Amino acid sequence: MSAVDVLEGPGGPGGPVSETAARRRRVLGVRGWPRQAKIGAGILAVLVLAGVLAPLIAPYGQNTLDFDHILSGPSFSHPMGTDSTGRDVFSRTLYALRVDLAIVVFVTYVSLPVGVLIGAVAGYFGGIVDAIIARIIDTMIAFPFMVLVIAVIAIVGPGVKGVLIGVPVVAWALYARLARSEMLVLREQPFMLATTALGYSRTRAILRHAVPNLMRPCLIYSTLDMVVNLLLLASLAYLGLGAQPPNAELGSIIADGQSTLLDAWWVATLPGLVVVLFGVGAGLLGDGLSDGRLRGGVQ
Amino acid sequence: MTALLRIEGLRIEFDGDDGPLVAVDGAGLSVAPGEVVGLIGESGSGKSLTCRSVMRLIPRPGRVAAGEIEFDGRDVLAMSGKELRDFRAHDAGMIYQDPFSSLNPVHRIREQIAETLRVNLGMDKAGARAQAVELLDGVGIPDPERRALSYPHELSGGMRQRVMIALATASRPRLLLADEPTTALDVTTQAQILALMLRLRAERGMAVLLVSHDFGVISQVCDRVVVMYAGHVVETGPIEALYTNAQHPYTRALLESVPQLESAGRRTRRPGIAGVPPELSEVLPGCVFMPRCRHAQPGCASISMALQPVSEGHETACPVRPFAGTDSAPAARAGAQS
Amino acid sequence: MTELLRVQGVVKEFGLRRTVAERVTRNAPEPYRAVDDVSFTLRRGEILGLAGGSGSGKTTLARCIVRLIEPDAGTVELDGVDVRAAGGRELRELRRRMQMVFQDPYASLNPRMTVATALLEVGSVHQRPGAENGEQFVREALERVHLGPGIAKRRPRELSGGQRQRVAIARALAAGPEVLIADEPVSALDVSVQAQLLNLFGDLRDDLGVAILFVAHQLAVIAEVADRVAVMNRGRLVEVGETAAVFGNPQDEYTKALLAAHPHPRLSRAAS
Repeated sequence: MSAVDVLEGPGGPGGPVSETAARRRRVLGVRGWPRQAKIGAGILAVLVLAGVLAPLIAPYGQNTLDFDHILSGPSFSHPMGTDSTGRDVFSRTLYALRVDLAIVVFVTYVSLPVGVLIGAVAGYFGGIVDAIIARIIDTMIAFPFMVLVIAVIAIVGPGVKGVLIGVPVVAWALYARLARSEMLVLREQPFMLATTALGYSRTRAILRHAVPNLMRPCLIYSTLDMVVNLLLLASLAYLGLGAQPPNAELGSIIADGQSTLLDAWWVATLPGLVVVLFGVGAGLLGDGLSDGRLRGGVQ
Repeated sequence: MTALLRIEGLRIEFDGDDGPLVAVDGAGLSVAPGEVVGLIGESGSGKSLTCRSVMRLIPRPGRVAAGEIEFDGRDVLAMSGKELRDFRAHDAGMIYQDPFSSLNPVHRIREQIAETLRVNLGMDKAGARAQAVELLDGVGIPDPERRALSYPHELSGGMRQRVMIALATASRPRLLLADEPTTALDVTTQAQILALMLRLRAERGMAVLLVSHDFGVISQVCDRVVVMYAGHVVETGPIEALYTNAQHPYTRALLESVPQLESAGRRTRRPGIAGVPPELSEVLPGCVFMPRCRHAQPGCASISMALQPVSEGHETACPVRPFAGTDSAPAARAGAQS
Repeated sequence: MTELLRVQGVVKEFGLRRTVAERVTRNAPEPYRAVDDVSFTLRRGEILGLAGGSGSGKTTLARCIVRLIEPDAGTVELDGVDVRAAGGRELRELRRRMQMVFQDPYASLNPRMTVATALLEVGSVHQRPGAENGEQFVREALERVHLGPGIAKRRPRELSGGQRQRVAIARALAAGPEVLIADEPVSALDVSVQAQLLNLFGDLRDDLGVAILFVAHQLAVIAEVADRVAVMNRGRLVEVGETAAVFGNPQDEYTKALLAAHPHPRLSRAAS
């Protein structure tokens, strides 16, 4: 909507909508994103690339021990220093990114479609279907997230497998709630009513018409969710429930570095900064994409 | 007689990717004390922005880039914060299209009116409440004592608009700015609100600047009309002159497009206006209406949009004047279509 | 039979929320009748205007006819077929034959679909003849509403209000309906664009033989486009007849009030 539209339209019960042939809005690809979102995407892209290319760019293996250089500070040969067994922290961080990002992306983008679908169905049908599903959603959300995930892990067993199953089992509910409330609004829109008037099946109306319009807020939310999941992963690793040692995992690297924090600050802090960087990137991306409105205020 | 409100050379811009977008360019109008002036145009014409600029309520990222706005000889654009607040509180009032979103849904009507009386007129609580009920009565709300205690959602659209008018005229401003006040109301309520505005004008000598896209509304209550297109004023004059002797092709085309009750039973075909209004980003040389004008001449591409006199109080921006002598009144033409 | 759509005794009630006191004493307030025993017919090849102020029930009635809202009582027959009793495939076919056009051009098109996709979808879901040749189907659909083929690739946000409304009409027509139910189709458009759309509706009646139920609150619009008019007030149908007759010689008090409220130019006065 242009600024003029803000004042002149859109029409409602009485007024006309702006007749100016709406110019081709900026392409909705990446080139058209606000700068904030591009920066965020850039940061994430760098991190993802680093993780993907870890085996190629890591100067050392993730478990290459070097007892001659334990706890040495950041240097040219060890950009992030070494830990208590002489392992290169930078290389470990890269491998850890690889594992963690893969888990986070999997876990977030499995929960999303499951949650969106359930929420969309609940919102569209209303009535008893919605009542039941909504209560289930509320219950899942009411539980402390961590407790539920740990419970699932207790059943399935620790390690990556546990996380990959445990988090989606719980996280879908957040997307479902979001999708459901969006759907409650969306289903009253004329174009949704039109699908009924046009004689389209409800399946088509939900999948082909509603869901593509529900995705945007859910995708924006998922950028935040990824950060939450990464931190969750780190917490689980800290508790020993994540990827098992000696595989590198951001949480366990940070946990290991904790004991040497005062003497060798780099072991815990620098990987921690990588986590922060991920959070900043995801936050900028999500914030930038959700920013579509004109700033309010008058002169 | 000096004008109560005088706008000249108004230019309103918005920040765009490739430089400023001009939404209103060189617009001017005047409102005499006690006069009802209609500002008509279709969407995108800049009429709303022009109206809001009087109260300096242009939303960011828009801004007044040039021009003069004078109220009773005072420069509105140069007013300081306090002067502006006083101006908005006492000299001019504004009502909007959607009365629902202009009233606070969680406050009772009486409180909303009383608040403006306390803050702007310095009344005490009890006095303000009593006066609020008086004002509601003054705008024709039945059973005002009881209705004053209602919340906005308990009132109909027409009632809410009356409350808005009460609120806006509480401090007896000399000018009422009405931005599409009846667009969201149905026709019977619209007639009542328009009658109310005329009554307030008669009782208090309050001038009105009425923005609308509806010629029917304008022709019923306005003394003079200003026609805007694509951010420019294209014609202005007394309502009779515009109705019977419109000189600008856009005004004529607009009048020709208005559906008439008298057409009932006859197959009517109205031409409308081919094409679409220009985008904000398009800068057109010469006359902005030229691409859509049936009477365009080659010279039109180099004219300025300055208004030139036609007769007493009647001005047009069209130098071609293809209509000399012909009647533009809609009723006279309805039978000519088939 | 010239009668195409027959509406008989349709009622739609909305229950009011009850206060605690009312629930306790089991004193339900009268439910609110948005549509109160409405009957009329729509004939082939005609445009019937449905007029009334806000709250008159005209939009609710329009939605009841296609069962976007389920009526509580009455019958709706399309060419003799009972619409209320139909289900599943039969209902879908009936809906195909009675298409709807909505008021808000912004919101009646799926913002994420191109015009071509939306039009093709109608063709394929209803297996319209000619839908196999996608490009031609889309082109013809757009021609019916006087839009060029260049519109096909665009999304709704790239179209003006008038263009969107034409696309919405094209989408409805692509299903090959016999009846078009237009719910305030021009209220949200500028007057110059509105005039062209009204011409279009007239053309649809004349050239395509589509019968149109034209809901509007502006009497002048109805005067210009409708052959007959039905006036509604608070859910009831108060007057029906040829447009010229009803507007020239109204019988019902409400119709008279509506006509009296219509703005009339006051041209012979000096500024006072």
